[in-house]
Amino acid sequence: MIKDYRTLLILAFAGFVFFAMSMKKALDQDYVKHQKAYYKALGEEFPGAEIKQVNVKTPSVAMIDRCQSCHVGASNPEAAGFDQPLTAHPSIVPGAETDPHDFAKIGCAVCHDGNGRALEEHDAHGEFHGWIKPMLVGQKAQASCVRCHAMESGHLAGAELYEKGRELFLEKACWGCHTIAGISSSSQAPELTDAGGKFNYDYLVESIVHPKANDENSKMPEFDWVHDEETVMALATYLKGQQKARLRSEDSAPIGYIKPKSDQVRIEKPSVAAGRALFAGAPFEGAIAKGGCVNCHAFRNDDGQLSGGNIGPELTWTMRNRGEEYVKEHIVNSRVHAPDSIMPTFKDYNEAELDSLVAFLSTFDYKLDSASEGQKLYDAYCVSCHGEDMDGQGIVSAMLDPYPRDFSKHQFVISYEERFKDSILNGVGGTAMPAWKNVLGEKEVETLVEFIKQKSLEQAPTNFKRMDVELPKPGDAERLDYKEKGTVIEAGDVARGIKAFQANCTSCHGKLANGKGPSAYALEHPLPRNLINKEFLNQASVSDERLYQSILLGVAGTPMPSHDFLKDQTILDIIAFIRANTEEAE
Amino acid sequence: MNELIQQAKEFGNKLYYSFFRHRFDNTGLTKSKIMFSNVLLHIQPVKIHKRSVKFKTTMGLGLITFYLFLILSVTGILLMFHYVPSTAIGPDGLPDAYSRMLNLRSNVFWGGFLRNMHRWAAHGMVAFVALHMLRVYLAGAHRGGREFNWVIGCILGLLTVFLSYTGYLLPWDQLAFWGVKVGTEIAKIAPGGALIRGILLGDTDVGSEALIRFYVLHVAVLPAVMGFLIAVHFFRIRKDGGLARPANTQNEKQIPDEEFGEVKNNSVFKSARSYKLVEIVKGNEPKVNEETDQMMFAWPKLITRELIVLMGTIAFLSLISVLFDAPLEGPADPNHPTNPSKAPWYFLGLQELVSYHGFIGGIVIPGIMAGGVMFLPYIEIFLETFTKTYRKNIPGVWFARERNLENSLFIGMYLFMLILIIIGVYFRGENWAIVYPWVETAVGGGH
Repeated sequence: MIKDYRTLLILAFAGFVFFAMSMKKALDQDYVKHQKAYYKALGEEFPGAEIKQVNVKTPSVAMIDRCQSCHVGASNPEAAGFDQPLTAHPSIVPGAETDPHDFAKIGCAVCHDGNGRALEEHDAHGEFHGWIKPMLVGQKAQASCVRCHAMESGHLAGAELYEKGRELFLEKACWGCHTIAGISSSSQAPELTDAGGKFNYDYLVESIVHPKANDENSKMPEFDWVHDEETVMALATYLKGQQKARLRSEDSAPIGYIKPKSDQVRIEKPSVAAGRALFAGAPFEGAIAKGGCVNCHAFRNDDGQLSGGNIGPELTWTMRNRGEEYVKEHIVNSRVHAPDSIMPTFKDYNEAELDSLVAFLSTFDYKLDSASEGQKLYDAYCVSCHGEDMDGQGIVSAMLDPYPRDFSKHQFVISYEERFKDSILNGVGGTAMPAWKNVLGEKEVETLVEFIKQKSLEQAPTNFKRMDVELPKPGDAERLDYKEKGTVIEAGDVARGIKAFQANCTSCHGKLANGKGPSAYALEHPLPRNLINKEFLNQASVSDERLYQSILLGVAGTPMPSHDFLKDQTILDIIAFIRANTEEAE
Repeated sequence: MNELIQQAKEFGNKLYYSFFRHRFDNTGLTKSKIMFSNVLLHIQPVKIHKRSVKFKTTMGLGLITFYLFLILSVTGILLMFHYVPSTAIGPDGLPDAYSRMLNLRSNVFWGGFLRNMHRWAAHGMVAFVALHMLRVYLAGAHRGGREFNWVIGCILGLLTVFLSYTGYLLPWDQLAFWGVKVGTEIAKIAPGGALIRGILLGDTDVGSEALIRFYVLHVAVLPAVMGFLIAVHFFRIRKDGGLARPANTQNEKQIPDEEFGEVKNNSVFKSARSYKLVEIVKGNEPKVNEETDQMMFAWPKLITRELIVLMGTIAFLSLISVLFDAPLEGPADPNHPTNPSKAPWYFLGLQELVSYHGFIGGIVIPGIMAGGVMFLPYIEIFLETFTKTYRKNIPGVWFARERNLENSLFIGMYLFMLILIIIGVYFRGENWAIVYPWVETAVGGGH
């Protein structure tokens, strides 16, 4: 019995101790310690601990700010040499004699974010998991200048990093895809007008450096210029500054900014120099940089030296391959030609700007010697898309849709080699494959085809042969349906075609027939064809016979399987459905 | 002077006897009076079987659960003084409910500790309810007239989970929002689940209406129902003759009589024991005529042991609450799901099952389990009656050999759920893909 009493006593004592510990934890807070140290360093008498709270009232929010309970010397110049957290805040406006920012009025969290009401360091700095506004340390706080100061395109002393970020946003053509209200309008990529309000700093950095980190299906390219830390920081700071909820309206914003010019200077007269500036994303004679093609597209100078980004196709031959009209249309809206292109729409360009770009692009005249051998030709003209191993995975292929053809599959090459010459000379509509007839002579093309065949078929078995089937003619009494014995085939019916398509094709080609069915995500290369790509389906080489063969026998060397279980009639119905989808308006 | 002392003594006596109706000596009469004349009689009998105070008998599991309920009531009421069940955006740009959580952590004296206590006690209660149920089944204490009490216990268990679940939403942070969202999405799969979900949420989605409904359920409705059922649960244990025990306990090793404290007999009738006062009650109450030597006074041994469990629970919980802070993430944001979104841990087994198959994993298996467990004693009786295989049930004995089959099945079910929960908590990462906790810490909730 006495043992029980003893246990009870020990447990009661332990309970009391833990209880006292909780009290101590609640009472003994760091700011008291800091304030004591602060007054000791100043050589003054400790006036007693005090929670220094600033209530920052703005038209939109009221912020509770208790940061200066620990950062007690923030606005005391005498504390300049002290250690954190007691030290004085350095001047915000460089060179100003007295800093116009009064921390007793605006507090700290206005610029530095964090969790202003908390008193415990980890908590106050917003370091706990999932907090929306982790603290912005040092220069990153420049993102917050625009919360009060209006400066869409003006200059604000002390916000250098932010301004550099803004320049980068224009120069690196981020604006081409992303909308920021007042700066750009594009529907290609998520709008960034409230990027800073929605996302925290680290998330923005991560999204810039590794766009696929959070969304595997993100189409944003991984840029090679982002590996410079300062660049990324500048850009992230700029984006963090994009917040819809402002603390001051633009009219009541404090002084210190230059009102943005209301209308931009535009290029009025076409010239190669203007085109060069647009292409490089550099300002031209006072006009704000609104180009930056070079971030995605590369080109060769006269010596064959390649420079530029590798997100879109190389542009060295584009003027010769595509012609002026096509290039202009493509800049304004690339989806006219290739429905799945990710290139931004540059619909804001005026005629002079388009002409300038065309003029600049026309200056490229690099060409190989026509007597070059296959390997050399391939390495110059084909390799950036089709890849060194001819597997269709060249350096720019990732962002092309449809993917460049994979020639490493001998089944494909054997089956379709007669198409190659035509495809090279005249291009493939609705894809990134241009017509080369203005650059390459017939002989060079033959050399290339020979080269591709030779390299691809090096180790191919000799016995591969593709069946030859003919497109059945409707009403032909000689050629009855193979599957449904004895039935005379009628012309394809769209209504039946829809049903058959939905039953047999949608898992890969999608319900909309756009090639983006659920199973398409599991396929690698090539992806299912977009069957509403008018440019592709309305070219001469994509005949009904080719569609019939592709459906019935599958496409050799690709994930498209044979469908010999379908009736001929059904296949014709499906073809009718595909044709109905892509009919050119007369 | 003497008179004054006399009067003071008289006054003191009157004062004392207005509080207590007994003294604190060691006579049997006093010991029974302590129980009999105090509210303690409503919980405990005057005399208890010796094995009731043995640790092995119950491990104090039910008692701990009850104490956690008490601690939760106390800390919960204190938290109610500060909490606002509103999603309205306050002047600081945060939803009120969430803002109050931040305040508890930084502005309210002792607020963080209270919240920690409440949070960890809530999780603890769910766990101990499960352990208590396991103990009862493995010791065969659910049979022999106690079948209906088992059902009540199961309802109490479900209520506990539901209480914990309704409380999970109240902080209105990402963890709360998405945890509850996952749970209510599971409910949709059930036939009629959409309706129940609608009634619970008051909306088509988790939002301000859901918060106020969960709040009222959490602080008023469920605790009231639970308090009533706890009373019934305890009352039926008393009426069933205390803790379940085998018919013959003579050969069991018991705590020696001396351990129960000395009993003086001041009665003039040396043979009469004061506990005979209760012998007039009929029924199968403490069986005074049989095994009298096994029955001992509840005071002070039982009461002391119960206090030990109480103090142990409080001490342990305080320690946990000082050391570990209750999680709080960013404010609830319906537009930005956490990846992964995990329900609270006691639902993670369910979520894991749902991730394989919505209907089978979310409704069929848990439905069979919950229903099966709740009516388990009746199922046993039914099978025994209709197959005429009367299996021997030895109440109060752990792992009785006669019940190996039932016990193994029951333990198997527990292990099954436990493994699923562990997978859900520690082995599920982004997009519900398998991660290994020693490679990458699993996040997304569960706690």
